[in-house]
Amino acid sequence: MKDLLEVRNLSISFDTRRGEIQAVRDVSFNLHSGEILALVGESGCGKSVLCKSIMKLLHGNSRIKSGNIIVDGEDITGYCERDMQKLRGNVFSMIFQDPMTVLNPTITVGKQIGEAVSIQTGLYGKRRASVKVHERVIELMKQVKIDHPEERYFSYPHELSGGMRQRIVMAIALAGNPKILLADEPTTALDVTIQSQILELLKEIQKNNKMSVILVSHDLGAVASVADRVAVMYAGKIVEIGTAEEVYYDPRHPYTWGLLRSLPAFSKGRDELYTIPGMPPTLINPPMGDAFACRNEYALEIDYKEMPPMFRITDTHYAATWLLHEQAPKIVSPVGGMVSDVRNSY
Amino acid sequence: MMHRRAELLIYCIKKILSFVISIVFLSLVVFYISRWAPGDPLVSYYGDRVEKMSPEEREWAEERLGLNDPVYVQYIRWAQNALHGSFGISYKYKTDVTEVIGGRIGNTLLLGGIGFLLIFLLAPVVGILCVWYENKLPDKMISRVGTISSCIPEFWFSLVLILVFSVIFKILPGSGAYDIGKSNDVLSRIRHLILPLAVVVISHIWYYAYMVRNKLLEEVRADYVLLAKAKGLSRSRILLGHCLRNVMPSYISIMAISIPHILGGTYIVETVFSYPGIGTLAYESARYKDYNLLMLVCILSGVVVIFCNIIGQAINERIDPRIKAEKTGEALEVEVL
Repeated sequence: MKDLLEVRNLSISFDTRRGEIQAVRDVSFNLHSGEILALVGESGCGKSVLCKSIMKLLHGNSRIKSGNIIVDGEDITGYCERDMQKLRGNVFSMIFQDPMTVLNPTITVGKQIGEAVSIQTGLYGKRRASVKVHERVIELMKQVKIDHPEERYFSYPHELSGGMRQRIVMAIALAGNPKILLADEPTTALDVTIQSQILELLKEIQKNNKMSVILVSHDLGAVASVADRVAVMYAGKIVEIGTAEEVYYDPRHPYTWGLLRSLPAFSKGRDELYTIPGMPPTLINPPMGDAFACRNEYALEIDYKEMPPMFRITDTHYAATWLLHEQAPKIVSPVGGMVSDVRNSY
Repeated sequence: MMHRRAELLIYCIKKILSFVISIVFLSLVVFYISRWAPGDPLVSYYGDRVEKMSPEEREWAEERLGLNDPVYVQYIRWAQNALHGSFGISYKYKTDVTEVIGGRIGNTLLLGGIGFLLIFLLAPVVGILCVWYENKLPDKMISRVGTISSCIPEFWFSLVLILVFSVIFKILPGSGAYDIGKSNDVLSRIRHLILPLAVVVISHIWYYAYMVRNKLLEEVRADYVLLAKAKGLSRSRILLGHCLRNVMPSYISIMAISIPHILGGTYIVETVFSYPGIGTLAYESARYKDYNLLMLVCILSGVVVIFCNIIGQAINERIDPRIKAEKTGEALEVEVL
């Protein structure tokens, strides 16, 4: 399969008064065409930053320290704002966490979608374009399954429910038929029933439009049913990446074990939910060695001294833990046989 | 529906009541203060002759002008006449005060109106410029210059401009509203307006431009800007089409409240430039104890100030989206997927 997006050794830092925050550290991954790659990790591990940096939507105090972003064979790392503007919306597009705040409260949703349509079709400000734009907006609203699009066209964001707003945001993102859709926690602000609807819709649109999707989430369980591949992030690094089967049925990194064990399905019949002990490290001065070491009950001595490289398990499955080194003690995953249970429950 | 109409009626009645009370209070305060202040009103009526008057003549004159009664009696008499639309005569001009003001009000409206319009249109432009170059040299320069210009006292700034442009370079006239005998000459009027307008605009504009700048900076950081960017809009389109649009309602309501602020500015400027408007009248009448004229000028200004404040408040309450959302609350969440 051809790689639509390639991220190579990407590091992103924020310069703040307290020092340099290394939000993303030496991350590499590929996105194949027509797949859904889930990016999973807890809050503050750099998932969103990684996503936004691909579209260069980060604020002024951030910078790409090193690495390359290659889209469709083209290195866009050094692209200026004007060049990025041409790519946004038609090469890649983005949907966001909170559909209430990303929509402009004073403009009707139809107009907001129409704006995206006209900019993507080059009809912006042209005369006699309004009919075409309107048709396309209605078509998009139907595509994201909004009932009565003709009426909803004139609604303001606050007149719509959360799920409906997220559909509007999706319609905006789809206006230019992007090849890559970056979905930054699209279901976090929604309640559970709507979450699954939105994820299903996302999957359906991805299939119909033959898009690639990067789905950011902090919920390993929620993405289980839709993701083709899963990348687990911790403290600004990808610690494990593989196909969904590999990560769910044969996880290798202790952090992935911890995440899987934290799912409510694993604590069935017990009094308390499992939590990973400790807190994620601050990224101002990330610890040397494996950032997860101090929370890891299987940590080896070398974990505190040297950063583990990506160990290859299969051609598609990699994990960054010294446990995979040939000299390391063999440890059996504590979440071994229970995983199928989790996938089916979603 | 009936409910909302009744609500509106009560709202209007409240506003009108507070308006009337404020005006009555204002007239009382001005009336008393002007009578208690030192100075001889007879001077403004009889001029230098007052010095040669005998005590009997003075008494007769005061009797004639109704100045020897207790102040509250004078006030009641004045209020009764005022309610019938008669505000008395000006001691200095010896004609009805409404006539005196009628002859001048056009000049003030011209200066204040054009000044207000210029500020209203230019402040957003300056604000947008600042936001476009946020924390870069142009923004910093404009901010510094703006802070300084808004701190310079108007009378001093007027004098400097007169000194530079009228006295040293002799390019622009430094006083009056038109050349003598040319009251209908548009060009002459414009030439006379340039300096006073410059003072009014320069000393007020930063206050509003700064407000636009800060509000816009808040908007630029809002989440919807991210989505607008992500869909491929250019920076200028986001700034003008999205952010400015969201700032405009509150800007307009603040500009309504700003009218009195700018009006006060024109009064000072008028006095320094001897521009024949309400401002100079106010100054003269206060200085020479021209009571009736002073009362009407004060009340007129008060009406404008209070009226603009009420309008500004009303606009503000109308456009605040939170209030709007509350009112349409029933319609919300009807369609939940």
